[in-house]
Amino acid sequence: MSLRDLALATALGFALLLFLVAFLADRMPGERQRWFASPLVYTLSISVYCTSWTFYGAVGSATRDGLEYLTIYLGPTLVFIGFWSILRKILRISRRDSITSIADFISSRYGKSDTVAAIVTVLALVAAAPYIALQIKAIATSFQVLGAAGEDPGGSASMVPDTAVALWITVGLALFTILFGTRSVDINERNFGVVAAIAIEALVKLVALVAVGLLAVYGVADGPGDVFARMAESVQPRPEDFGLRWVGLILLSGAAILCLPRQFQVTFVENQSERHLLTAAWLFPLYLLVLSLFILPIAVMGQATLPPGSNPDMTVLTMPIAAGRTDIALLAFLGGFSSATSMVIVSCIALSTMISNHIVMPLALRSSAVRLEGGGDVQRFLLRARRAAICFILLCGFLYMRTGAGGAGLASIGLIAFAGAAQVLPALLGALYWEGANRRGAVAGLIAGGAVWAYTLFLPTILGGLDAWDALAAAGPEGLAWLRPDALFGMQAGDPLMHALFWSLLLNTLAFVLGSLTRLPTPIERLQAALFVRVFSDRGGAGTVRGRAASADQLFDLAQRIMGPDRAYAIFRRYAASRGEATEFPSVDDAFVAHLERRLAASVGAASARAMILSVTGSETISLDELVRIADETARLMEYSAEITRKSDEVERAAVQLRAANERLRSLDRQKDEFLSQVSHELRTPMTSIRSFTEILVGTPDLDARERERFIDIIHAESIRLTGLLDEILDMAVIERGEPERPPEPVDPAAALDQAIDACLGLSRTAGVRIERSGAARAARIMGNRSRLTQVFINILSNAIKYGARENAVIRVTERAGEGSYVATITDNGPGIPPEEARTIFDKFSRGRAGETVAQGAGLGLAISHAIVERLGGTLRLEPSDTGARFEIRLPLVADGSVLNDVQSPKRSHSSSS
Amino acid sequence: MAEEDGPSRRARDLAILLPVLGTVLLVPPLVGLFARGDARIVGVPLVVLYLFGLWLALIVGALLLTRRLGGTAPDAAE
Repeated sequence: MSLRDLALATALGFALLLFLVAFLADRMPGERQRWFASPLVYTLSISVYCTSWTFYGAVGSATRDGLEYLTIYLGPTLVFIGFWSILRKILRISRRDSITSIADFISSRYGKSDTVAAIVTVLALVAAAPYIALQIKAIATSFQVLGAAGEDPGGSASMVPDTAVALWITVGLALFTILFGTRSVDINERNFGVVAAIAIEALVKLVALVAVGLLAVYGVADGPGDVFARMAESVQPRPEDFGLRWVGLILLSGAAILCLPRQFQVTFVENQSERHLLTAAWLFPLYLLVLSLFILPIAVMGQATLPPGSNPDMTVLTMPIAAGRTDIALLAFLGGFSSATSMVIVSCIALSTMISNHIVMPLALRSSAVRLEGGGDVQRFLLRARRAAICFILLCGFLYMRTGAGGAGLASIGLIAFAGAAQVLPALLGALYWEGANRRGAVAGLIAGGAVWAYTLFLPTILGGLDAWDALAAAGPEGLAWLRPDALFGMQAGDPLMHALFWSLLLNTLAFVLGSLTRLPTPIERLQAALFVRVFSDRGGAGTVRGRAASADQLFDLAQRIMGPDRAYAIFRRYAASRGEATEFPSVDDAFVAHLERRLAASVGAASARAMILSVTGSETISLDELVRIADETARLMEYSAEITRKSDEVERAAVQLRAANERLRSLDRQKDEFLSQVSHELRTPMTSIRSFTEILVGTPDLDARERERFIDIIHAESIRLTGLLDEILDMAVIERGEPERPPEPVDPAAALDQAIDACLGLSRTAGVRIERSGAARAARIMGNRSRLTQVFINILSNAIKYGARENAVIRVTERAGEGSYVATITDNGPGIPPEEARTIFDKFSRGRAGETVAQGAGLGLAISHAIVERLGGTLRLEPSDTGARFEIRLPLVADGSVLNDVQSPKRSHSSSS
Repeated sequence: MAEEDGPSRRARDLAILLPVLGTVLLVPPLVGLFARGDARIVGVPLVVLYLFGLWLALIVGALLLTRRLGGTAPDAAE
């Protein structure tokens, strides 16, 4: 039995073992299934990241490019130790929304758009082709190496994988994957069995590589010291290794661990508990560290001991053979087989789910190949679609390998796939952190990035060698040199990968941002954006979409077609029970429709689930409440309305002031009219009297002397009255205009008050009014004009006499001086001044209505008094009083004579109320 | 930020800072400093020691952090 046959038998036996494990894991009772749902199994399943590329290719990479291979593991390490930011968020959302794939995740976020999902799927499929090809090539080559173990121990570097072998391997992988990935009719549950098998393969990879590594250190070399000593001539690190490419590859591998469909599958879709991430956060990087650690001595010793021209990608296998350790070689082969098969299985499961959910299903729904209402088993249809998709994916991989690209090193093929998968990164990060990102941006970014990647990296690998392509690559399409695929915009990077990565991610991100900024998101996009970006702050869980109505029977019919009758029944029954409803089917409301949509989404993806539900329920509306809540517009609206209220308050106040001012203006206008007529009347009365007496005197010359004299006396008295009246008006004008009179002088206000009371005695006696004086202000001095002050007192006193009580009228006059002020009050016991008049009493032309009948002045008395007191720096106020009107005159005192000269003119500190 | 209760703010900040710190230490110019010349410690090239040592330190850091943050993740397996 040759080594190759032995390897084949081992591989088949191993595959059988895996089936057994998967079978047991799936059939185990729930209790024991928990064992497979452990954080360790979860972590090991994530290490499906380490494929043949790692197992075989990393050694080749280390041999060719030194420590560069570490970048492929440092990127994921950084992502996992930073689990708190990104991984946890994606995981929380995926678990909440029963996300089925990366395409489902992206499309869910961007409004459950099937366009976005289809683009991601196509991109992932194209990018997967090189990756699958890499696995096929690795297994095929490893078989050939084992077969040629006798004659060509190094495995020639130029060895081209045998097409027949590769084809058989492809068919074998397809069968293996179909049996594994689409065994169960139930496509909804998580794949316990597959995860368990992947975990075992991860252990085999680790053990095999560590074994080969130990052989290299202690079998081939004389311990670690020897290895490092030989490092100088092989993988000696140089400073230029740590340049732009180092950074670019770390970024690329970090993006790949998030964006590769199979990594998304194991990390987020198959996850059993969020707690498991806490273990994987450090254990997975540790797994990568251990693998990387043992790759180094294998590369060093392989280069040191194997014959020149050996294929460095096969060192892991050829070194044990050369060392005569067939057992370790067999283990290494098994490790490589495990790496390849686990990758192919998980990739195919992830991709076939994406293809069936996001390409086949939407097409079928549109072309009515699948009828949701009556007839047709959707479940079986989906399963067939997935199986066909698996075959298609593997065929793509096989064909890719057959192209010119198949001859490249494993690592360089893998990096092409990474760069393709990384095009999802902007849309993914935008989905998590930017609420403004929308469908248009996602579509634009994915298409731009995918196109640039395909043009600069993917197509050259498969079309390179064709004359047409080579001509295009050399001169640029249509002779446009700046569009050459290896030198876009004239950038001569020298490194096609970095060149492609730079331009694809740059244009991708630009298109994503610009696309998002140039369109407002639709309601469903806004809802999903908030649910994704604020997954940790929204406690309400998934948002509600309202207005979708259907009967429970219709919904059940739909559900059982997708999930099978038993499962659908169980879901309906359980939901009814959880609501406390005794019926078989729950009453249909928005919450139940949303619940059912989520369950369907777990099978067919969010976009298809939404389309199916809509086909039954009709159109939907996202409630305004919901939108307001998610957009946090409540806060904004409240602020806005507060501002409106504030503004309207201001407007209100201004309006009130305006109204008041207007009222005053009207009242002033009225007063002026009244005054004019009053003045006319007042002037007319003496004038009429003078004229008529003058006419009598002129017209009757025979008038007797006594009569004539009496008439002349009347004319004289009327003239005096007229002059007084005109004086009063002039006074008013002078005082109002503030024109300077005589310079102020010290005045004894008490003396002025005495004089005023004396002047009013005649008037008061005639009216029968008693004036009582009390208080004393001896030696008080104010600055001003004595006659003016006297005029003020007379005005107020005469008003008190005129408008005071008709019987038993008493006017009380008090005065006092102190605290810098001289204060005099004059109080009558009359009817007082009504409140509505109190406001205008000091205005010009105003006169008390109560006194209209006995009015004699022009209504300027109080206005003049008020103006005079103001000019003296004092105040004249109408004081509240129980009986009658009470006026208070308050004037500033002069402390002593020395400052008298400084006081030139009294200040006008108080503005007049008029 | 309405984050659920549990781990201290410091632990959460550290969880965000750890990968940032790791990135800064792993990329040029810092990493290039250790690759100059043929510096070796006990026969091991300095940059190899630096990279693997840093890697291990980051893993230990993550391990300690996950212990601190352990109380938060809901242990919900559907």
